[in-house]
Amino acid sequence: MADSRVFPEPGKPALVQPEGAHYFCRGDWTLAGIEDLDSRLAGVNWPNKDLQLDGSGIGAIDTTGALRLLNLVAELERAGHPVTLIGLRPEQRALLDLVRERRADAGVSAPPLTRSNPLERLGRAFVSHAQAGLQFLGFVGEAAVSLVHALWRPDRLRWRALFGNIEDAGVRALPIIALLAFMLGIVIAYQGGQQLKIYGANIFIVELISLTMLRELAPLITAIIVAGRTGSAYTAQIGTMQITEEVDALRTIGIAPMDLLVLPKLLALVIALPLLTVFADALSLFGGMVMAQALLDVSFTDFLERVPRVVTLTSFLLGVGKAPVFAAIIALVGCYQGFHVRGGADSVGRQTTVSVVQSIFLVIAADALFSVVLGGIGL
Amino acid sequence: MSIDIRGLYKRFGNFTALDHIDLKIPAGQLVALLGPSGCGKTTLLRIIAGLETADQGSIWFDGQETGSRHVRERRVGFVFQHYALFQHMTVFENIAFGLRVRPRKQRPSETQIRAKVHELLALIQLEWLAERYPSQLSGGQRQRIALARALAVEPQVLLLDEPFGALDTKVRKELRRWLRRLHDEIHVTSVFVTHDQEEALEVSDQIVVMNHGRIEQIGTPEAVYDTPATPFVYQFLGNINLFHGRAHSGWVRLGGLRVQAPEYQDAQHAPAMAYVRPHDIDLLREPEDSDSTLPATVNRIAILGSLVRLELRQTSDGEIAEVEMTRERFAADPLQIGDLVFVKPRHLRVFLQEEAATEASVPMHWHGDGGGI
Repeated sequence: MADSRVFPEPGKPALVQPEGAHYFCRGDWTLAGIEDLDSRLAGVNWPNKDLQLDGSGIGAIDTTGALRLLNLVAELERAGHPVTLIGLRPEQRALLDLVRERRADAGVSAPPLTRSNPLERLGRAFVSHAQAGLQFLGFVGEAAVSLVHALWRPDRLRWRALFGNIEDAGVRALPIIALLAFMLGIVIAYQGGQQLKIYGANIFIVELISLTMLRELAPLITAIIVAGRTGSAYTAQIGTMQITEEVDALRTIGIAPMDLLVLPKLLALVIALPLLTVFADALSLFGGMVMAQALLDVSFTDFLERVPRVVTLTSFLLGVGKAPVFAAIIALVGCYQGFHVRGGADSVGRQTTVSVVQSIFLVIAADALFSVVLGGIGL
Repeated sequence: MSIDIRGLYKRFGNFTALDHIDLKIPAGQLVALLGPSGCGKTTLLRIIAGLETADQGSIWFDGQETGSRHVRERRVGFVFQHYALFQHMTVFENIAFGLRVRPRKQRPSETQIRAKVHELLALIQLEWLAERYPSQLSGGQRQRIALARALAVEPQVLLLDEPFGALDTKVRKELRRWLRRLHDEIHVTSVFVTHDQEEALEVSDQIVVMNHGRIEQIGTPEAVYDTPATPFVYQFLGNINLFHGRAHSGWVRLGGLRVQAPEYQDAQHAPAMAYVRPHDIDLLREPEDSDSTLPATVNRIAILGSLVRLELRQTSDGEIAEVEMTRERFAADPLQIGDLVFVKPRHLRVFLQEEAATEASVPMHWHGDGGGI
């Protein structure tokens, strides 16, 4: 009889009848039974004193009825009639207790799920990004202030941490940067060489390799490797310390985390990245040179002789000069994201990813800016 | 060094973490901040340390405002729940760190630092661990190292954030006794946060019970346990049995029980709640008189070491009550499951319902058939 479950048969209507001092609840206090309860209650004369609501006459009761009964009691109490409920069977009382308990939870209704329109989402995204950008700028400013302090009083600088970081970020990165720069030199020489060979302009491979490498690609590829290798490590290290409360511990011991954790990293990278860039310059030229000899019959001697003639000091310095800027971007983004780790270990992973993506993005954006600006002033 | 907290207020978004807290902590005392999670106790501790800033209010150390003072000038020692030891440093370096990083002028010499660290290691009785790394130590050892590190900078105030929260029960008990002894030796003003009432009762000179960003009660462990100021404190410190009833002209009726409550002389049929601790209940075989005992049946008996805990079902309304008694008393008159007994509260405390009205929106009370008020 599935139907009877869906459409309960109308029970006896619920009502309240006064009998002497007692007020008896009768009928079925169910969804169907309480349908017209309000109109029936309107006719009841409530005394102006304590009243006893006797539930022994209730036939069936469900949660709707229980809620109605609780509301009735609340209404009466609010109107100044202290109510005592008596005569309920234990299972009825249990139901009322349950409804009373749960009503508080249900009262806190979830905020309505409104689908925000695209414009609103766009606006919110803009505001949150703008706020994040402002926070980052604040962090950069704070770092700059403590950098000035540290340069003013170099004895306060954490030299051990600084050299440790230079070793980690610089010396230990040499093999991978050597390999990648060398291979990049080979690739560019090979691709360019194919074209040059058609026109017999083999010797111009030197211009191609040295200018693209020294001005653009070597600083960029070095910065990208360092962002992936060192920037992420900075985020992970500071993030882990943030979770284990070591950052707070530093503060309570009296050390500004900026001085101990950020400055040595920032300075180390600003020193190491230009050096790594020079190293990458040399290795990528070597890669190009090997390829030039193998593919285009340009000998090492010819190649090396021509390099100083085509590469001006400006080109070389422009390439190397970009490196400290990239270094600052990578170190600051890495540290900033590390301090933004909240909660548990999953947050470290998330912020590390964000850190790498943001620093590579900002490095390339800065490089593009350099190209435009330097092109504009004719360098 | 005394700590004086005035009108402290702190919000996180829509959540009020601290709601105008006023608190005075006398010098040299060990004070526990006790409360459920989310009651604001850790926030309060972090604001005292200077790790967070309050939206309103101020903190005074020995009559001096700390707001303008940087964390490092406050000279607080802070012990974290998860130790927060520096992983890449040995135990020795961890403890010495706070001294080594001082500006050169204030920095003690290397021999002084060594002496200080060894003195602290002796104090925490872990001298043989000086060259180990934190990852090689047990939780209890790490927490003691963390305490030594906090003490190395000779703090004026020692703050401990759930210092034993991450340890297992046995180590926790040992360590809190040890902390008490340590405090008796060094007498530095200490504040520790805990949600464990047993810990607070055992260790502290004063307990500050907090809930929803407010202070519910301040007092010695005895005072807080014996005379709780609010229903919340009653419930939070120890187990309770709750009886619903009504207070009227100095009497409270709880089902079949009628007790005197002179403090509610003016109450007229006010919904009331009575709290009784499980060990404040006598069980009788025979009813004394109809008004002073409640009939109940024994539902369950659990023997917990030296204590016996009985679960009773009240005959009138089926509500469950818990009673604790010593093994001796239980052995003198062993009860069986299903036995009829008469519950006689030795000591109960009545609160009017409005004090807890926020929890139960419909004030009402159940009692057995027939009995009116």
